Amino acid sequence: MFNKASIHFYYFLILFLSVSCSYDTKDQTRLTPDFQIDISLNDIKKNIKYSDFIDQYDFVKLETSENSLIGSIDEIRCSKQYIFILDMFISKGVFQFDRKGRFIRRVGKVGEGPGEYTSPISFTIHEKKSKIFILDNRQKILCFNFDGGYIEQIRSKGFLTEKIELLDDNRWAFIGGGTEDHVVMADSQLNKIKSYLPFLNRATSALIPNAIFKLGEDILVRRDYLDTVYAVTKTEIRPHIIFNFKDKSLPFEMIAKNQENPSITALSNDYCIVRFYYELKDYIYLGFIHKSNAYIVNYNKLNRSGILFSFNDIKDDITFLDNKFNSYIVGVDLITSRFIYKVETQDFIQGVESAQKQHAEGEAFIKARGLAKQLKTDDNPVLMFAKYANF
Amino acid sequence: MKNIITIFFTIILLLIGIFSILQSEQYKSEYRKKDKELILYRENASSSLSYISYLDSLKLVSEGFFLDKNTKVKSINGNTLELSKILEEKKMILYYSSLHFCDCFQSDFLLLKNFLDSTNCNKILVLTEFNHERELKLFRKENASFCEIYQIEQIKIPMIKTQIPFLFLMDKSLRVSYVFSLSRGNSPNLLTYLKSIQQLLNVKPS
Repeated sequence: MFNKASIHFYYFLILFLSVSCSYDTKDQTRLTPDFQIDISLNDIKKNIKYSDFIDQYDFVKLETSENSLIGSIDEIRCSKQYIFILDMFISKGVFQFDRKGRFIRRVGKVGEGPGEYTSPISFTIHEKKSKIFILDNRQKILCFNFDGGYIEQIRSKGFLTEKIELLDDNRWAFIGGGTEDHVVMADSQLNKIKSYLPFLNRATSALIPNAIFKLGEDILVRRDYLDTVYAVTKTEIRPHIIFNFKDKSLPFEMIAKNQENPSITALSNDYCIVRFYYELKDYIYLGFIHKSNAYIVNYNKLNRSGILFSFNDIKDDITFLDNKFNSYIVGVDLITSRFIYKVETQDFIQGVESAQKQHAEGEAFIKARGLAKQLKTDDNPVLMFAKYANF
Repeated sequence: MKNIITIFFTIILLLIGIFSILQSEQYKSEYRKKDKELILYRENASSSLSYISYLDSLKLVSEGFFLDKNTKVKSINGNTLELSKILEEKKMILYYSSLHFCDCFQSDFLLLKNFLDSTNCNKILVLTEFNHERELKLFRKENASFCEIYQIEQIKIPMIKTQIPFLFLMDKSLRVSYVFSLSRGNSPNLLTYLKSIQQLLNVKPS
């Protein structure tokens, strides 16, 4: 009935159709992710305490002085010896502390001369090269060594960027700032090599906490509001995690059609809106909003199990903060595999005082009280390096 | 005759029925239109908010209004004071909160500081609303020209929702007037505003 040529024709036709159906460059969520985390608001756990998922923790009190005063922690990176903190708008700069929180220096300074920046909006470090790279004004990268010495500056060619990350093979990965695509890969001299994921709007690009970071061999990137985290490897981009909120998942079109930044409050009435995401080798931390309430998912990648709870319901039995001032994650320490929580000193001191009045006791309280005694209400925040338990 | 009356009423009833159906369809279509408008409004909520704020600001500038007589503020030393007590004479007020830390207002702040130099620093008072004391410390570090700084909790001024620092005049009666929002690229307007304030406050250039 069929001759050999026609069989081959139909074989290739079927193969072509199946490949084209399973892969769409504009909607890459169709590929199977490394993790799909199913989240249902019916599974919210009550009476959760920090100690239910934090196994060990250390406080690092960031030294406070005229030069080391930080407004906000917008990005944080840790090397074996140092903690680097970017404050984008308030104190404007990268602050270098040692691992015990002693202030070392401010890397570079505000200005328009060599080694100076006007608008530092992102940074990264390279441990092996002992270098710090600060993105200034969306198009210029200033390079310093770990001793604070200025080395050089490189300008991007033909694209603007909001966030940066450097791969081991000297290639750069960027989160785009209004150019054609969201993720831009470039060579060491910032010549664009390739780009991925269509640019949607500024809301999904700028000012996203932890928008791009290196984990193992991969660079992980995400867009605010949306439920997919992508992994950029040397050769491809693939979905790494999908947070599946089922009928509460925000349709991609809701973001794509908005020319202006969509209102989170309005969107969160109907959908779960992803805002915070951090990842370690074994754990994932997700913060999302629904109906103006914040929820957290702590996920164990080894057991493929998670805990979902309301941000305002958690009992803080480690830093003793009042519920409305909960501490929250601002970054990860890949050296020790710990999540880094920011604890505001003013709230911490008040929380410990309040716990003392309620006759709190135990090892955690003694540790917190000891630290609170050393703090003043207008000191820099305290960092809590938390190792998660095997929940 | 009976048949004619029955047919007549049947036709009338049918006409009323058709009319009601048509009217209900019209209502439905109007409702759908309103619903679409509502969705559009929600989608453009952020831009609408700025428009509402603009209208609010116009109303405030033209009419002025009073703050609660018992409004309290906290000094840098932590003392709680009545706002009316620290306004023996009419002053210009800068309202600034933790939402306002941004490069956008740098040129406006420079103009303000120049204004302070010409007023010997006694005609402007800063009301701040910060979440943490560290933020106040940072504000003072960056803006040493402002000597009178107080903290206030939940000041009831509609301009707050614009998330932009603003200036206004206030006297002992806590009447808010001459509201002006700082913003990027608004420096020429700020200059005009400050000149008129200079006259209103009887400030002689030094």
